[in-house]
Amino acid sequence: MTDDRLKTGLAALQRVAPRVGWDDVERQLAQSAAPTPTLDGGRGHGRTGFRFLVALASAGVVVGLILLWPDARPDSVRTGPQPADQTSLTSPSPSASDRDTETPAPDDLLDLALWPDPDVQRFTDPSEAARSFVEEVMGIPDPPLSEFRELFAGGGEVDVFGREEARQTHDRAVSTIALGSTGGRWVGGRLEGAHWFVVAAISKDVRIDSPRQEGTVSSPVTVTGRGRGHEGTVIVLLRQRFASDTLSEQPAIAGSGETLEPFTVNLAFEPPGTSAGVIVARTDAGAEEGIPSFTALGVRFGDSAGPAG
Amino acid sequence: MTDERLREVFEAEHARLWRSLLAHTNDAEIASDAVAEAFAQAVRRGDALRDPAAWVWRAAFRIASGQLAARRGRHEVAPRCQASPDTLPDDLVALLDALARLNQTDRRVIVLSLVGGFSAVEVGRIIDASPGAVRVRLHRARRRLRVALSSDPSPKATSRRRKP
Repeated sequence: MTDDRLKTGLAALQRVAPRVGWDDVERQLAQSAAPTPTLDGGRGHGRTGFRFLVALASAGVVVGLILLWPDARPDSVRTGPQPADQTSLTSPSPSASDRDTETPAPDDLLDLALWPDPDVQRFTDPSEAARSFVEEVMGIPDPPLSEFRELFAGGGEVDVFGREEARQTHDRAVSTIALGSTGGRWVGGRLEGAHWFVVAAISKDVRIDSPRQEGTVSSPVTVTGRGRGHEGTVIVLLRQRFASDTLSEQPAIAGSGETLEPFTVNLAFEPPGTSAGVIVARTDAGAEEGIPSFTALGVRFGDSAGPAG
Repeated sequence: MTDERLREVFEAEHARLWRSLLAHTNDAEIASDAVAEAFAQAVRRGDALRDPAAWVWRAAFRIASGQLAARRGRHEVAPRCQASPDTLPDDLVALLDALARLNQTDRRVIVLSLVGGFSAVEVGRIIDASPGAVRVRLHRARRRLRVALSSDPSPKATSRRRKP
């Protein structure tokens, strides 16, 4: 009986005439003929990184130097051990004698966390925090990750490598996860007991120029950036921080070749009742079980006039 | 990819795509907008698309999902099907209502399979999932759809709600 209803329902659906024609496509093209907003030629992430760095520094911990030089990372091809001068971009790590002290742990530092929810889960291993973020937030199972690289006392990064067909991992990092920590104590040159969290993700292949890290957004939020990927597809999502629900999602057109090309989307959403969200821009992996390149940054929800279509 | 070639793709795909989107969204207006916008984006993309039909299906479902989320944000419920509001048969109304009671992932998988006519491998390419995951999800979605259909005792009531 149920299967009969299903069959007759499907048959009835096949008899419904579609209400769309090529003239509707041409109308869409005409409506979107306005020029794409000019982007600022590469300064966006630098400014974001600088503001982000200042915010973190003022909170007592430095995490994000990688965000200052997004063009230099994370596309480094990893073919061997990390170079000895890896930390040349970073502040010097404290010596063992310096480290026998407790690291700063201001409560508001956790406000920058994209993952995990500090009230639900805490990671004492930064690599596990990065892995959980990639799996739970980005929806990428079993991601190939680099080892954690400490950039500063209590801060560092983990690369996410690409993956081709048949789950063959390649050496190119498609994204880099920036992590910070609170709490913990330096004992014998080792930081023990710190709680690690993800504060951002960046990629050479897809960048978000606006809104800025920790910027205030309301519905509809215009997201601009640049990207390149399989068939030029970039998917932009707005998510509630620490939650799996996607508040809004739109595909965008970016570059399909070697150069990054601009994209713009408008995300309409209902304010979720919490103060913080995450904007993610990711490419199409172009392969089954492939790893997309992705960028993620935190935003704050402001007053909204309500969603718009 | 020339406009002419994309028009050929449009002629071949648009009816099946539109019906799939109607089944997915229960909203003819969203279905129409998503089809038009997906093809418009394909036109703008020019030669970048190696498989324009597959790309358009992916894009259209993502666009429709975004519009559905926006509609939920505006607290719009029980959208009125504008395909042929006075002539929708009860079985179709019951099917659309049962599909609307599934979660979005189940609905997308089962619509792509039953209405789109895609294999598990093809569905996986559209929704970025492995064929194995699609098969499992499809099995569960079919079961939930049967339950939803069997728990709809009065299709005429929903049909009345739908009509102006």
